[in-house]
Amino acid sequence: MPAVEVRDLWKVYVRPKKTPGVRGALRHFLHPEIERIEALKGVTFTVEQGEILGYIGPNGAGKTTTLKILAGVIHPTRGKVTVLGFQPNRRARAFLKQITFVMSGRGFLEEIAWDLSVADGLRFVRSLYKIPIRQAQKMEDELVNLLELQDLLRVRLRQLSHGQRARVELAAALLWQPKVLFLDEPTLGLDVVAQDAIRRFVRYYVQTYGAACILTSHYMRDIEELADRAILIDQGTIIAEGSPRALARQLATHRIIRVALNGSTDLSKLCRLPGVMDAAEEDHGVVRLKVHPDQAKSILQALVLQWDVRDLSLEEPDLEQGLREYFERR
Amino acid sequence: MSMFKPYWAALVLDLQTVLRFRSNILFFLTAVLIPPLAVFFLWRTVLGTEEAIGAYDLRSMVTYYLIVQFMVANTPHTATYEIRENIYNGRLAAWLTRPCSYFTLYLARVIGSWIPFWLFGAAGTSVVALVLRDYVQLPPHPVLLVLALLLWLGGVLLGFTWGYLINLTAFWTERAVGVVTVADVVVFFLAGGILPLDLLPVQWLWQALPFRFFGWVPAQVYLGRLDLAAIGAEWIKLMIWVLVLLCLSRLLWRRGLRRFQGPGG
Repeated sequence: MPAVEVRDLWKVYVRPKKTPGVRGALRHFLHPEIERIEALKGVTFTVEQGEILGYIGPNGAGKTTTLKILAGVIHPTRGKVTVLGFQPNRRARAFLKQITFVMSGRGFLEEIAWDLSVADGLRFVRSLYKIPIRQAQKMEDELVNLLELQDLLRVRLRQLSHGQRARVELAAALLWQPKVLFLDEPTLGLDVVAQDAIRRFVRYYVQTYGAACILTSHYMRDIEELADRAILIDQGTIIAEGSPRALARQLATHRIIRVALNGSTDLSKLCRLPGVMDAAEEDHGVVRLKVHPDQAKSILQALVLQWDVRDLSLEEPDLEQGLREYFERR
Repeated sequence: MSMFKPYWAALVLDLQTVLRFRSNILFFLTAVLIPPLAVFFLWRTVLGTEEAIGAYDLRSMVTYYLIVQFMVANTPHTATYEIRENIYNGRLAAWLTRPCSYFTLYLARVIGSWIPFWLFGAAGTSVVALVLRDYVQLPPHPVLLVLALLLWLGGVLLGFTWGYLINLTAFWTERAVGVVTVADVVVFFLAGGILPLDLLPVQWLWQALPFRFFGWVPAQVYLGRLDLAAIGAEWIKLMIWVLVLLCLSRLLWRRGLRRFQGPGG
């Protein structure tokens, strides 16, 4: 049985419709109107135990809505959702003790212990989840070491930097060893060192404890380095699914071939090769060819056979490039 | 006992937080000291030429206000604003994913954060009582003080449940400030904070509402105006009100969660 199962999930938000300006405010005051926004339209996927699923898409695509439904925060409008066999919106205690939901920019410790020390906050989480002292201490030591929190335990939360707080919140979110992790942009606004630390830690946790994890992020490096599988969602609908590399290939409409030729370079001749979309000369006589993905192989063969090639490379598209191209053409 | 562990921890956590800010507690003392003194001067002027108004002479009136103003000001019916804000800004989501009762956890937090104010408030009120000792009446029997305090603690639970219930309307509104502000003003009046309820007309109405447990009923117990049977009857009424409001808030919570859109994120 998959750890997370989502079948034909729909979520419709009903919100007051307001137009800007004083006139809009007056109109709403006299005749309030509502609008229905379809945030999710028949989303279906599963996540296995020990798997990290990258859940990507533009702002407003429905990523956070999906996570909120999976964590039992909001009710779905329609569809079937199970997490570890539980129906999340019933919020059974046994279910809540096995999941964690890290929301972007909204830490739980911040909420409860803003004026207290990190150690006070962690102690409270320990009591909240009724974790036996020995188990809690062992887990806390492990988290503190891996996330390098030793020097922060006595510091008040309000005095921590954004990056330090992100690490502390992650530790507090895993103290009870949850089996399913919902991570909503855990690296948002962090510097590269802090991003690396979080990524290393998430990978370690999932591998060590065999947890299932759904990760949303706007940093495609998070997805490429962590996710076993990725889903692109846009306007509430799943657009593409596969490994991060396969997804990038699927989304990108071209490949880049860089070729260095001995002798003179005739760009117009290169452009006439079937499948070449564009050609441009770069530094040191290197030519950058933008080619159709299906014809990349035949172009490589033609280059080797028909030209005196000094150097040749085919660049695989990365996820960021794939996404950029997808957004440009939608 | 382990079922109380999260709630005890929440109580301690908020107590710790409040104790970090000494100046807040000291400023609160001024709020405890000034109104009873102001009310004393008012009633000394009013009752200076009269023997009594209703069943209240100057001593019992001053005593009544000392008790009621302390009790109403310390009943946490207004301490639940954060619940409303959590619903509006979506921060409630952080609590919904925790394996505990939001109501009980929040009650524990409120009690934790109010304990220092109760203690300092009681100390401040005692000082005022000492200053006005010629105008303050002691209870006919010391047990009545204990019974009045117990009834007030019941009123604290009732007050919290009321505030919780009112703030849950945030699930259905975009801004519930109007509802809550009106409720706060009305509650102060209906608790007997402005005038003793037995001096008002339409007695059946005030007596039928739950708010009198926030101040008026404990004050009547302290002043020795209720016999033991009447005190027992008030206890039963109080418990019934707590149960009714708890059931209502549970219903509202369940229905509200179905509407909750968890904004933000």
